[in-house]
Amino acid sequence: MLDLIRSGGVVSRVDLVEASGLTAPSITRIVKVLIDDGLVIETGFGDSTGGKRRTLLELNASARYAIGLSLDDARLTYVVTDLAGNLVGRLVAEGVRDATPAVLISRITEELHTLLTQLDVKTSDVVGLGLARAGLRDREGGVPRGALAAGVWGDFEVREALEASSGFTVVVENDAACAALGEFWTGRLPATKDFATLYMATGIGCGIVIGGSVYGGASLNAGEIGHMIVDVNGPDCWCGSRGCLEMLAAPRSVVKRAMADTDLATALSLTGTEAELRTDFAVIARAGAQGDPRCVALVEESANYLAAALLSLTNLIDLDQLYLAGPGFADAGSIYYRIIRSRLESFAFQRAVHSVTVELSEVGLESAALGAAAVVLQSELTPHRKAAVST
Amino acid sequence: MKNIGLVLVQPGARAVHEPLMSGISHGLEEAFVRAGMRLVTRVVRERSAELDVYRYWHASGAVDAIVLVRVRHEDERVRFLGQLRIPFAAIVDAAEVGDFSAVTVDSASMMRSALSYLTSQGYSNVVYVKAPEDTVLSDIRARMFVAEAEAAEFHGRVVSADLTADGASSATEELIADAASRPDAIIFDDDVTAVAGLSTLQSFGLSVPRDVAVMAWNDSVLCQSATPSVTALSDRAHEIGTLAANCLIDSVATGTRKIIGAPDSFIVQRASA
Repeated sequence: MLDLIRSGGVVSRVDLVEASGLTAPSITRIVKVLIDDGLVIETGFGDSTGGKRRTLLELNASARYAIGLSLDDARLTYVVTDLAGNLVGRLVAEGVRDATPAVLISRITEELHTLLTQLDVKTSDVVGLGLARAGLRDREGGVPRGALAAGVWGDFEVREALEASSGFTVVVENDAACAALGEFWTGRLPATKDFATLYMATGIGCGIVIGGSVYGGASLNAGEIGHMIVDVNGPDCWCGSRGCLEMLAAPRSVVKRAMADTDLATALSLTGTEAELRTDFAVIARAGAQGDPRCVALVEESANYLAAALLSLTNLIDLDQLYLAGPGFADAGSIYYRIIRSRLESFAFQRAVHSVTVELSEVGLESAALGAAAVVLQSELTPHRKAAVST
Repeated sequence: MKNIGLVLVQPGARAVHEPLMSGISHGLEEAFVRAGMRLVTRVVRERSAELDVYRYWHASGAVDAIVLVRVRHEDERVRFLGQLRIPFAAIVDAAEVGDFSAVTVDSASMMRSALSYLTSQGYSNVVYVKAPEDTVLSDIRARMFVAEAEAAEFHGRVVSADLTADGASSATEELIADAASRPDAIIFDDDVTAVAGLSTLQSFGLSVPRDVAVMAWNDSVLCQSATPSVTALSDRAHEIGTLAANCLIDSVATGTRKIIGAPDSFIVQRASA
């Protein structure tokens, strides 16, 4: 219901009856709950159609706020949005790097409260915190025991720990799925469109949107394109398989190849350490974007593997729209874009029937955090549930 | 010094995509995070709200220093931040250097290189489509454009149009309405307007660049993906952001005013000009 009011701008109760298919008394009841909660306000009267004048309703966007947090090795990005999904502000702070979960949870709690003070938003007006992170999750958004993971986070229950220390309701969602939702949330996409968002940070994931909602699969863990095999004889992957996309295209592999060229590693002052992985990658990507031929070649190699994986995905589920998002594309996005677009233009199996559009995400670095905030708005403000409780 | 603040004025309900500002933000964030600091960005709907944010940040102590962007001529924010005694560094045009720390962007020199590129390609009837708003940058570019046109003895005109795809399309339509006075090259203020102008020209059966050349002031993937691809000025946004962060950190650490020149932009030569 809130979504109908949000997308409609200014609407009347009669419009809502028509759009929702619910009965007029139900709408009246739901709207009353929304008005009592301050989520919706009456903004005046519409044109009279002969009978009683219609009272117009509008979303009270600044009544509540949602926080989205993208948990990334290189930087933590917090966004605060209002009810309508408009960006109120953001905070960018040091990334996860090699912090232990306990240290990080306490820092996040401090940063959340600093940010709310900086934006002059009351804690009581925050409906919840959406957390975008990589990796497997269970149905409650937690991390399954013994789950495969690349770092120390595998067995740590991030959601419970963060709820306990911050006091906010926390919803955890995969970062690539969030990025896809974030793309949606900017309001440019028609709500029924099918598309996929490839998200690259330290790892690589993919949010697949079918008919306007993120495709979850059997356990809400769909989209692990990072473990699509792109070389059957390729290197062993930490997941137990071999030749996975992530092992051949992710920042770690690009830095590894760069380190093998000692001249280049020295010239760019690369550290080759795990803690500086993303900084090293950004340096290589930036040098590539400025035309350094050795770095262009390194980025192109990564892009070629990504293009192969995206081509397979496109052929498999017949997509016509792809987005590239995440910090992995922030510095050399134009090289990735060029290679991936040209591969899809030349080889997409369905190319004779329709073209495949590739775009660099407009919200780029923020997309996962914005999507995480959208997840909170959708899950915490389900007025159907709320109305059902109160009627 | 831990918390750095930045205020962005975005009139529309939805965030408008601005490659220049995204690049600057990215550079700022990276440099501040590297220095153990963090950057908070506050989005406000109208310009008048900006001073309230600074006042609140100062009173609450939630922000220790500020980065100021889109500085206008005799900008009231400069005086206001001075009165609050809150440290700040600005990103300003080289013509607007004042008594404060800043990274300077030389729009005049950028316009000179854009025009000397176009004249070297043989264009002689050039129109600059500038933004109507009172951003100092657009005005400085326009002044330099006119001066260069006189000095180099080519035909130059400045027109104003909204910095949107629609604004650029209608401005372009007017420019080509009379075939006799039609320009042979058009410079647009950013990537979005350049690509919109390009498709308007094509929809009227004109060939780019044979009939009319198109150049964009800001480069982006949009310029790269257009057909034909659009020649643009590199904006060095990421570097400007990094420099501004370091300028602020240095000036606070040393207690002195720092002025740092941004690196020169260069022409990204593509098919449209």
